[in-house]
Amino acid sequence: VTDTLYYAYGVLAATEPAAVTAEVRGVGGAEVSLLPGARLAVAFSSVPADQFEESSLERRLEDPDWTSTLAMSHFEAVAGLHSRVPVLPLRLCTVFRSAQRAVATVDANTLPLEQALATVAGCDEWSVTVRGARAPATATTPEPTTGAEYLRRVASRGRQRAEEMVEAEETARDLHALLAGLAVATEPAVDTAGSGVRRTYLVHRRNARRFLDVLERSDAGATRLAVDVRGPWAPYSFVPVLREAA
Amino acid sequence: MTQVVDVRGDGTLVDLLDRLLAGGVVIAGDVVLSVADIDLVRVRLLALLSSVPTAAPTGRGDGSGGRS
Repeated sequence: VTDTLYYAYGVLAATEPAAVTAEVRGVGGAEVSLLPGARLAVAFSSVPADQFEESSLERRLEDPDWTSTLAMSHFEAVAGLHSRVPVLPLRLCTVFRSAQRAVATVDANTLPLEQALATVAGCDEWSVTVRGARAPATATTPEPTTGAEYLRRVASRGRQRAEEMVEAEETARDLHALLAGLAVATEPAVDTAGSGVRRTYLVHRRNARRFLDVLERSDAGATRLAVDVRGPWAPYSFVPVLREAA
Repeated sequence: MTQVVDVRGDGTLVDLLDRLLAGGVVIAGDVVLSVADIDLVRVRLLALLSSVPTAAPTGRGDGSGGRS
């Protein structure tokens, strides 16, 4: 049993030592360092085993405050790397028991990881959600006085929601036609619980301004819809699916 | 109306957790938590956090963070 574990943030080319400077900090403010493998390196920091060993980690992850702090640290470490070199983020809480296992795992997956690194080089991830603007019920509308009136209103709200959803899908399709050409890769549209359509784009930084211009100009007709743009993320959604290490 | 949220300063916690728990390279094998464990954490946390107003995460206050 060891006292420290290896909390891994991302995978990058082993030829990028400049990725890590003292400014890149991870969990608990610890310095992030690299574990170099054959061609790739794992960016990690040491974490105390008593907090990150399986049983206690599961318990701690049920505490939203602890997990939010962890998520912020992970996000900032990945963002720090991402602002300097191409990096593939690892999922939250990728904790290795030994440095050797961490390196062996990425080495065993060199090919898909290198291909993905080449794809994301110089790119940021952006998510675009188109949804109904959800005009709030106006305070001036009197309370329904009869059951029939109540049901009419429910039906009318349902119709309005459905119409907005159709409009959102149409607008999302139109926008996608304009945005796809500016993106390196696109994730399929996701229906966000019936309230909108979300797509995720991988966009080269040299095209970021044009990408955002398209979105900002899209205002024109879509008064009933809201377009919600979030980014720039490290490429969390554009990572390969790895086979299990032997 | 188009709203652009710069996640380096104004991202929400739900957004962040969704990205970090649903995205990123998944390592199976000799890691502390299995994929299934992490998926379960995600479902529980997002359910919990979606039911309360979300606070914007703040930087750690050393002023040297990722804003550029």
